[in-house]
Amino acid sequence: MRIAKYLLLAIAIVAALAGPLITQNSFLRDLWVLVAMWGAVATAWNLIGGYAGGLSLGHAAFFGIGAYTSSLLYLDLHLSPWLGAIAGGLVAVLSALVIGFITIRLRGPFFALATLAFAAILGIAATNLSALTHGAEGMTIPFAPALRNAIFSSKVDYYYVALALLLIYVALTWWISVSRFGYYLIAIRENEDAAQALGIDALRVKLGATLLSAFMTALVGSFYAQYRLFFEPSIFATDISVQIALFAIIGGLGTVWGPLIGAAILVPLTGELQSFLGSALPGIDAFVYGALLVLAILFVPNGFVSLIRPLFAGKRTPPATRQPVEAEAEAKT
Amino acid sequence: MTFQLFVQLLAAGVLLGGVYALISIGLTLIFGVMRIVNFAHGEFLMVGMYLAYYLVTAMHVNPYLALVVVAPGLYLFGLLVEMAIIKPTIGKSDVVQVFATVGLSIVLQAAALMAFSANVVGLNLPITNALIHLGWLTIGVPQVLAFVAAMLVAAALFIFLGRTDVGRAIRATAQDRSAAALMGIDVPAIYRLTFALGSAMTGLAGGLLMPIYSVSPDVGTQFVLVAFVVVVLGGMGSVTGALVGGLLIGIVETFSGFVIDPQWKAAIYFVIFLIVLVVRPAGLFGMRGSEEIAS
Repeated sequence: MRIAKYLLLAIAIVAALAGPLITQNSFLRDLWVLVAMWGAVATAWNLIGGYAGGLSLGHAAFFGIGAYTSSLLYLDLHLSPWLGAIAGGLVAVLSALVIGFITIRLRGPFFALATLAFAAILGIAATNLSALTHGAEGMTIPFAPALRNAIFSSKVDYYYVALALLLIYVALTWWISVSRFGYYLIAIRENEDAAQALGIDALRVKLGATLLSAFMTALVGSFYAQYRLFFEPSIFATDISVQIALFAIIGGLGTVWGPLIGAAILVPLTGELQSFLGSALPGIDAFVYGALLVLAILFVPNGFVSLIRPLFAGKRTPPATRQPVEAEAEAKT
Repeated sequence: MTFQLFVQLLAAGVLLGGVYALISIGLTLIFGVMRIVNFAHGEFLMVGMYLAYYLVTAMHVNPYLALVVVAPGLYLFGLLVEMAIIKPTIGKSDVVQVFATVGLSIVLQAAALMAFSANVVGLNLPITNALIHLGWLTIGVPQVLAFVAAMLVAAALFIFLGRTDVGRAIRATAQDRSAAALMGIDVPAIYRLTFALGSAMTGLAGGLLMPIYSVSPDVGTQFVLVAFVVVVLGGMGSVTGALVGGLLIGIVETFSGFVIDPQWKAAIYFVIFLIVLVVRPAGLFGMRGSEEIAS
């Protein structure tokens, strides 16, 4: 079965590299870019959401910070977005440090709510600080294709940039998942008090994961800005944060490939539902999408990776879903 | 700021706070007993508003008489949702609990979009525009009615939880679900009842909001964040907390909207929200540590 695993990996890599070259259709090429892009963001989210067990519903904050920072530096100071993206990552790290101090002690839904509020504050700020952010009219980046500007005339070029980010993130996740840091994160997720008792500095480890995740998410935010060449304060919306989290959850929390698989399932699904059903009756596409999500969460709680996984033998990281023991929950009450 | 202006703003803030308390009571009740944060709470409110809107516009029912149908309607709706979606998530991980209701909110918004289109609609009746003049102080009748209703609902809930056997069973379940089960309380039945009751209150809130606000499929997202802020400020699970938290946020929002800029008022209560989470995560009236056992 080990051979099957490598074979599948090889096929996947070849398909990922050649895919958009074969598909000429612009709609399909856009899908390839979006899958790679959202796969990368979801992989970044997975570090805090999947491995550390902090259900962030505010990752749109980091995504938006990346987009705004690189775009403002590019438009106002003519700084290349390649450097702007790094700057955006650093701004995201700073903001993650602030929000991390506030939220890191919170658990479960409280953490989710606090991160959600953080992104909402940034959305309001982006709308109202119009001198800086152009307010509700949004940011428009003029189309000037050049490598220095990180603007390309072909979607295929964008795709390879997104793919490179994605592969780096997946490799990083794999490396973390087998490292001491990764085991610390998993230990904290499974039982924070026990991990703390064993000498893990839980807050520090979680904060580390948050900062890394914020940096990675912001880079993709900059990519998004350069790809779409337009975005509004709605980039901070809860919908985006929820989407990011859902990709990872539907694919498989706390797994190396889960977030990508989730994006590869959900991004085309949304696109197809929109194009086939959306015109028939507004809302029916979202209805079907939402219903499928509820079903997937109730019946495949460990994500679609858990359905594929039995095909492969060999070493693996512990699965993510925690089933809190009734007694444990009660003991804390 | 003149004294008259101060009183006018205070009155507006208190009345707005009543509305906020009203939309938060159901959320806090459900959390307190079931330890579930209903992320589709705003959509329950939206369903209540549309139901009221439909009754008023299509069947020409008085908007306040419509409540007699809206509240039981949402009770039934809550009962169905509990059995279909909430019950299977009890005892599961946070992820499942949070995202099952997130998925539900997507479904409900889409259903409303299909049924009513994306148009923003409101009621325009003599009663919705009625004003009360107390000397130089002017207040809207629907706001006063919503405020009074919030107080009555809270009082009724207090009596129900404090004085009836079922109420005691609900409180026992909230305190310790396994001990309650050992005492012969049918915990799943209490969960069903609590969720349906919380939904009915949210529906009632929706019906009372309909004469004041417009409704659209995404109206829930405007209110749900305020409800979360109120509930966290007051203390998750505390009805008194929802009442006091609602009033505080209403007053803060009104004054900050006047003093600073209405555009920033939401940012201000989010900042309050984060400060509460840092300083006293259990909220004003919550049990200490409840933010940690939320899972």
